[in-house]
Amino acid sequence: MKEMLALIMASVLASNFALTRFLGVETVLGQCKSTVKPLFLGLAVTATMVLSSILSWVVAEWALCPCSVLILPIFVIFVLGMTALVELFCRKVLKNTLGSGFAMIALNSAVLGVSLLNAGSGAKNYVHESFFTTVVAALAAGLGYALVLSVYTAIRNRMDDCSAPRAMRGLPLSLLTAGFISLALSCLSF
Amino acid sequence: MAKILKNTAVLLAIVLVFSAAILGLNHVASPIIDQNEAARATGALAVVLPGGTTFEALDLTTLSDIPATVTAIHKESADKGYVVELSTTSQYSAGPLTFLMGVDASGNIAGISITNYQESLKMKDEFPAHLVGQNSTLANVDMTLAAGTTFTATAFKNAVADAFAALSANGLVAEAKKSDAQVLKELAPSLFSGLAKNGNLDVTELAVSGNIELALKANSGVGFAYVMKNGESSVLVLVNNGLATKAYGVDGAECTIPEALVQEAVEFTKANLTQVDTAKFSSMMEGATVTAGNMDGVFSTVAGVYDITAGGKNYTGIISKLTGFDAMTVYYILDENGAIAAMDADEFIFLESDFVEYGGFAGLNRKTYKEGFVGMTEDTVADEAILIAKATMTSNAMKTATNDIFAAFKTVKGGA
Amino acid sequence: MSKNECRQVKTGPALLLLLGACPALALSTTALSAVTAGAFLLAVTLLTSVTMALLKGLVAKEIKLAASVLVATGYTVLLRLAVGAWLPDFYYAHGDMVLYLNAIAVSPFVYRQAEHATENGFGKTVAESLLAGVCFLVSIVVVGAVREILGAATVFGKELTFMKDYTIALAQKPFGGFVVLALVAAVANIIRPNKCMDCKKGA
Repeated sequence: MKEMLALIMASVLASNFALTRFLGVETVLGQCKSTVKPLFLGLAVTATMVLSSILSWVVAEWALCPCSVLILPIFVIFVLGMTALVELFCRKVLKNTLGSGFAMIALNSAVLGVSLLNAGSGAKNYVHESFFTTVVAALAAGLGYALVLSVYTAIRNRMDDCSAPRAMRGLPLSLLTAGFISLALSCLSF
Repeated sequence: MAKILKNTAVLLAIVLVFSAAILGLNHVASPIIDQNEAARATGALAVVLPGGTTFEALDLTTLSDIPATVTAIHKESADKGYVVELSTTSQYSAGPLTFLMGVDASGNIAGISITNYQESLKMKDEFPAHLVGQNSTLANVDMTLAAGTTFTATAFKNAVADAFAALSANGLVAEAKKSDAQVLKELAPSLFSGLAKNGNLDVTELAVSGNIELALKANSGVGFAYVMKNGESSVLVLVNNGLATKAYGVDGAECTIPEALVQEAVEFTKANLTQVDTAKFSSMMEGATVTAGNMDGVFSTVAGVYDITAGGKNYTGIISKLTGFDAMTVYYILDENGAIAAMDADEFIFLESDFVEYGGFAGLNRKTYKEGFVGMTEDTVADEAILIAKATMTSNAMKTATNDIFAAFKTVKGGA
Repeated sequence: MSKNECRQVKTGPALLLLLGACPALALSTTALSAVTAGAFLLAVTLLTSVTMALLKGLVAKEIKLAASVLVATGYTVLLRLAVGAWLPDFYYAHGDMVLYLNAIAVSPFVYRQAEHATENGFGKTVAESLLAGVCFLVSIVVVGAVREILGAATVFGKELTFMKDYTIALAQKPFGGFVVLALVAAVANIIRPNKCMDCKKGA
């Protein structure tokens, strides 16, 4: 139980997927007055992570060994599939399409990264995690991602009207903002 | 419908074509990748055991007495030696200190390489480097090379000793025999606490003469330790500032030695003794006259015991010298019943002249702190009175000094 | 248009660094791993966009994303195997190299070039991919070199003794990555200002 708690805290804070492991950081940095609300996007990402990591675990645990090198394409297929599923869910049930969010989730290294990390980075060595650990890890990663998305977007929108040197406008300022958040998170290592 | 079929077919075709290509390339590349990985692992091990070509990891479950710090042992196939993987922590580091240690067939350290070390203040490279070539006795470990990183260096040294213990416990490498002098030298800190600082011997070696093989003077100034030749064997002779002596054999038990040897030790001590400054006593108590007192059996951080008369009453003055945050001298004046009449200390927190608003210590009222000790006896001494907030090392040193001083009082006054 | 040009820029060096931010930040702790990452990304981008340009007729609009990602994944695995087998020095330049090389499969950088490939002609595709990849490679190597020099006083593994006492450990941590990349992006902005989607002249 203690390890589980440590895993959750680490994934959400100190080893945050977006700001410490840099997985999916492109989506975070690109969040400026985007059409998709950050929290909504965060939840969609979490859902995709959990679903695809469950599928990945199932396949990797029982069907993979002879061709373990194909682990990456299989995971990618699952990510794409689950993103489509989440998009379908949003359209039919929530009556609210993801719009450009679809690309943001499908092209998100964090979603792929969760599955990969639970399987040992996609290299030769496959790490056998338990089902429960996999799901908890995916949830924690997604929550951390959503947290960063919300915080970052809020800060960035507030900074919209400040004067910055011309060269620093846009990406440099985004990077510095994200950098300071990551610095704060790095102090919370457990 | 046709569109969906066409799309699916296209995607499927892409997946199949690439899968075939991947599996084909994998067939060729996979063995090479495995080889590279093995070569890397071996390369890391060969760094610490030069000349080693192939290694085989031993199953630790089949071996006995493996300390917790030893994580793996690799045997070199051509019997060139062993590589031990170790992981230890100093209490101040964020993560474990992991390193590899190569031991050659004759039991000497062939190489040390640190693999993971997350520490803001790193050990200087000279410390692990000077361990190379030493054997399991670790006779020539020089702790001064690790000044400023003592805790880490001590943990490191202990891990190295663990590696040797693991290897010799399983008959893999013969344990080197420690010389008597080394055994006695290592016994000294536990028998005379004033010789040690943070668990390590903190002494200066003096030039020897006669039967004295090794002369150590405590850097804190509380006394001396000598390894002396007593006929065929060696003994450890401790001498404190009051010229009281105690002798121990290699087995760590107290022993008696010829009077001539005792005299030799005392004469050597007299020649190298630095007098302890007792001027502070006069400022602690009006009109105090100080004479040196008996120090038989006092072998701790106590540097001096004195008989003090002031205002017609008899007191005992005891000085303790040790290290808190910095080198520290603690002065106590105890009355005839062993209750504290006055207390003072020299260390930068306590010195009015040296000490200017140091961070969080602005709240320390030195006068009140010192007066808080008055009246306490060995039984009534309270931790809260000794504690200085945020000054853990100084507080701990104060506690040690207080305990040693009360113990000394008991010893010299015969259990008052 | 806000003062900070927060809206997505249409083209320019800042966009490249934004889309390739994952490898740019993660693999730029040393110059060698930066070279690996940049070259790998360049290769995958080029191959993917060329393939997508060739498959232009077959790939319908609905499956454009899926097809590009699958093609990119295929090339990623092939190249990773090749690097692992025949270029071990580059493969082991970073502890998590494998994870981040695999992540390049779903990198928006690759996807953007693939997306343009299905719209533009073959020659234009190759030129654009090559240019983007090389610009990215140069930028990431600069970031990597700066981080390595500041963080470990080495460059490509060679020690710089004059820097040894002045290392800033933070340079090789995440925060350092963000700061150095921000500065490089700022320099890139000066050299080649962004063209933004809807900004007024002179803003």
